[in-house]
Order: sequence, then structure tokens, then C-alpha cells
Amino acid sequence: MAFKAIFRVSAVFGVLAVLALPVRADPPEGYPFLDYDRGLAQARASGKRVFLYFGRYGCGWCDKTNKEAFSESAVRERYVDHYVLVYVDAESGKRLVLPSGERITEMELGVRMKVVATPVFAFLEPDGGLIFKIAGVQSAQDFLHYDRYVHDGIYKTRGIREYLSELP
Amino acid sequence: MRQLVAALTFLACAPPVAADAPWRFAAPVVVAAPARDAVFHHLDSAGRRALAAGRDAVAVVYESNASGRPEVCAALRGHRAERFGAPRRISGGGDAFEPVIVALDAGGFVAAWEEGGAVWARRVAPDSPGPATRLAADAAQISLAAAGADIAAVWAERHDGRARIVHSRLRVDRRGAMTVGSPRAVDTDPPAADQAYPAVALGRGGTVVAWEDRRHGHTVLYYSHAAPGKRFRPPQRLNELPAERAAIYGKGSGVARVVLTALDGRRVAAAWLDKRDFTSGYTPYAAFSDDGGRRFGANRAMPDAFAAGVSQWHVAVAGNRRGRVAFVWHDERDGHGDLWLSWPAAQEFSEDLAVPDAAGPERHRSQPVLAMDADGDLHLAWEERDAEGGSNRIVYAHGRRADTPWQIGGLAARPARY
Repeated sequence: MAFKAIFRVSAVFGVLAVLALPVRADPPEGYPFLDYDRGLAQARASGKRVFLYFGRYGCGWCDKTNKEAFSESAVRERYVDHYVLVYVDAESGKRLVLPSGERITEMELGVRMKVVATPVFAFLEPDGGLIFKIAGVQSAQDFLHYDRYVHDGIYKTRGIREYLSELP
Repeated sequence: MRQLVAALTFLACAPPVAADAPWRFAAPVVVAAPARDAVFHHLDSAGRRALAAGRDAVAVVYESNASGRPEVCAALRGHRAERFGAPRRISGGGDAFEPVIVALDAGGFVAAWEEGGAVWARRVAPDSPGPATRLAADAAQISLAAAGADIAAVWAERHDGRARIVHSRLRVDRRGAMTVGSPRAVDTDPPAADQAYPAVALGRGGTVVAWEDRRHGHTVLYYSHAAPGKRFRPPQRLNELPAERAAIYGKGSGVARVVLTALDGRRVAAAWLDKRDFTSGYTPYAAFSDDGGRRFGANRAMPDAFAAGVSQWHVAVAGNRRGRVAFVWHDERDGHGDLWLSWPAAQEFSEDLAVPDAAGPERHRSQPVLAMDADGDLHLAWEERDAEGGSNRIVYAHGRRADTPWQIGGLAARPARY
């Protein structure tokens, strides 16, 4: 037990059945965010990639990102045009269906995608496959860089870190 | 000399071994196996009550899509049996989710679940399953607690666009017929925002209900106590807020999925996932009450230092009327999904114990549920899959109580800070 204490001190570091009484956090205003099922269905039908936003009800970093990055018209134009926008509340019991057919809650999606802190942003292929995800507050410029990386298909030949390190 | 230092360092840093634990676990047995690809079984529910240990048997309830649609199944195992009997569907014909089950002192069980946007309950027993009874429409997230023949049910019910927590008493006769008491809102004030995922504990000190509440612009946990035969008292805060409320927390740090269990006398244990340390995701916290749930003591983090920097998920609690209590959760501190047990020890919690046969790189384990019988034996079930995203199975293990020291006193009765 003393050992544990030492480490503690030193550790720095549409169908009714589908309606699970959802409670939601807030996605940014002016964006047509959809829930996961509708968004993935729309992505499959349109061939568009998915931009997935994991938020949390009352999350300060989410609010900051909404106000400082999603308020930029250049971000809004590109993201609305290039992606199907999906918003997930990381503490919600609302149900969704994964591409595998498994039905889980929005909170459980966060477990599966290892969402530790919010916000987390993920780009998905139209079939739901993960392209990359990034956590924490992002600037408008960050989002524009990510858009180019995904929309221009750079991700198919280069990792995100390599791409970001080469930016001027 | 260098080798000796290395060996001593290794021994000092090694996690606790099973021999130190208050339980000796038998080899796990499969409750429900995947019949084919894309078959999934789930143990998730409000209060994490998908497992119960009764007088004659252990029962596991789970949601499964094996038939092509989500339905609720129950599997029973007699205390002397090696295996679980064939699962039986207990839900009706609609899509059904998030089942819970409790054991009755007289034998048999009562299960509840969500189906078709309503909440239902029925007696579950090998001999005479009772008829399914609808408890409420436009409701979900039901949980149960039992003491003797008394059964408390709580659920989230939608009125005027908002969900609120509702409580009712159930009674089941020997033929399985169910009597449902008048449902009442736990918090009598009209909800200012959604209330969700209730848990309930029932003991000699009365009934205590805890739930997630969004009235303050972020999720907080409230609880309310009712003395035997009395109405619920005004709700009080369960989780403490971080001392420094900075921009990082916004309106507040996150909390989720509270669980409760009644212990000996008037003691009650609560646990939940808490994000006050926002850099490492959720951490399981616990609080204890010495007066039946009228007041809870200070919040205490459970995991040991080896869990620092990783998120924990799916915390569950079980206790018995002799005052024993244990907690279990899932985390990936070793790079794969393992189950970890913790229990009160002296003035704090034990070091985390990896559940034997529920830890290691060969499989991914998650969604543990826990029950404790009168002898202090643990009954543990979880979801297990060979590959992330693949079909899964439900697995059960029995932990027989060992004779080890046991303390809880230091964790209880300290005043909470709000």
C-alpha cells in the first residue's frame, strides 16, 4: 500500500425502440450535423467522406472550438461542401449501428474509438473506415489543413504527422 | 549487483497477484457464444445490473441480435451446475435492450428491460416464468434493486419533451404475477433538463436513487433518499466539482453511469465514471453512505497508480449484507482491454487486481457486470471478443471468497465537498 501511495504522489501524469431518450450536447451553429446513423447512410449513398465530431454536454474545449474555429466562413464552406457532418455526444445513450451491424450507444462508440477527452474530430471513409482522428482544441487553420489532407486524398500516401510537419 | 537491483525493482513494481486477493476465481464458462458472424451480445444497462446471484442459481441477462433483431435473453446456472442452461428469450416480439435482473430471497429472479420504447418486467425462474408486464410507456434505462421480497424499479420517462427519473415498487407472487406500485417522479420538481441512467439501492435504511442530470449545463450526478414508507427527499449532489473551474471544464467536468449497491446495516456504496482529470479520460470514483443514502461521504478515486494516464470504462459495483463490496471496470493500461477489480483496504482502495482469465493480449474484454452473494463470493460476467469489432461472447467466472482481511471504515462517513 505504501508503494501505491508513493506512486500516487509521483504520478504526474424513426422506430420507438431506437429512441433511447437521447440527451445531446451542442454541435456548432450553422452546420448541418446529423446523427451517426443518418450521416453514415448519407455518406454511403453520396460517396462523401464523414467528418465526425465527438462533443460532450458542457465541454469547454468544444465551446471554444465552436466559437473560434467553426465560426470561420472558410471552414464552414469547405466542411459543409466536402463532408457529411456527424455529431456524437460522448455521454449519450442514444443508439447507433456500426458498419459491422453492431448496435451500440454513442458513449460506447467513444469507448471503441478511444475517445479520452473531448472534443475529438475524426475523418471517415464513406463506408465508416477511419482515416484519422485528432483530439483537443483546433484552430480554423488546423481545420483547413485537415480538409486539404483528406479532401485532396493526401492521406492515401502520407501520414498526418508527416503531412503536418511539411506545412510551411 | 545490477541484476539484483533490477530484480528487486521488478518485484516492487509487479501488480498484485491473485494470491493477495479476497477471491479465488474458477475457470470462466461461456454464457452465450457467437452463433455466426455479426452476432453481438451486450451487457450494458442502467446501474449495470445484468447479473444476479440468487438462492439457487446465478442469472445473466443480455441483449442479443442472434435472431436477427435485438432481443433480451436470460441464462441461468444452478450453483452446483458446471454450465449455464440454454438461453431463453424473455422480451416480447419488439426490439429490446439494456436488461437488468435481481434475485429474490424466496428464489427466482425479476428481470426488466426496454422494448418498443417502453419498460417491461417479468419473473424469471427455471420452473415458472411469469408474464411480461409493461411498467411505463415512453421510457427507457430501467434498473432494479431487491431486498427480501421488495423490489424497487427506476427508469427514465419522457414527459413534455424531457426525461425524468421515475420510481415504482414491484411485487411478484409465487405464480409470477406482478403487482406494480404507483410510479412517482423521484425529483418532484419539473425537470429543467434531461435526467438519465438511474441506479437504485434498497436496504434497511430505505431506498436511494442516483442519476445523471443536465440541469446545470453539464452532466452532474444527483441522488435522493426515501426512508421506508416515505417520499423521496429533495435531490443532492453526489459528485464533487473540481476546485478550479477553468475554461477547460466549460460548465463542468463530465460524469457518467452511476451504480449503487446496499451493504450491511445502513451502508450504501456508489460508483461512477468521472472526468475531473480531463487529461486521462474517465476515472472510477466511489462514495459511501453510512445512513442508508441520506448523505454520501467524500468522493474517492479507485484505480492505483498503474492506471494513471489511461481511461477507465464501465464501472460496476456489488456488495452484500455483511458489508463486503467490490468494484470492477475495464481499461487498456496494458494495451488491451482487461478487467480490473478493486475493493476497500484500510484507509483507501486496494491495488488493482487483473481478473484472472479476463486480462491478457489474446482477447479483448469489456462491459463487466458483478454480483456478490451472501457468502461474499463474486460472480462476474463480461463481453469478450477475439478481434476488435468482431462478434463477441458473454463469459462468466465465479470468485470464491478467501479469508483475507477486510476493511471499509476508513472510506466512509467523511463529509463531501461541493
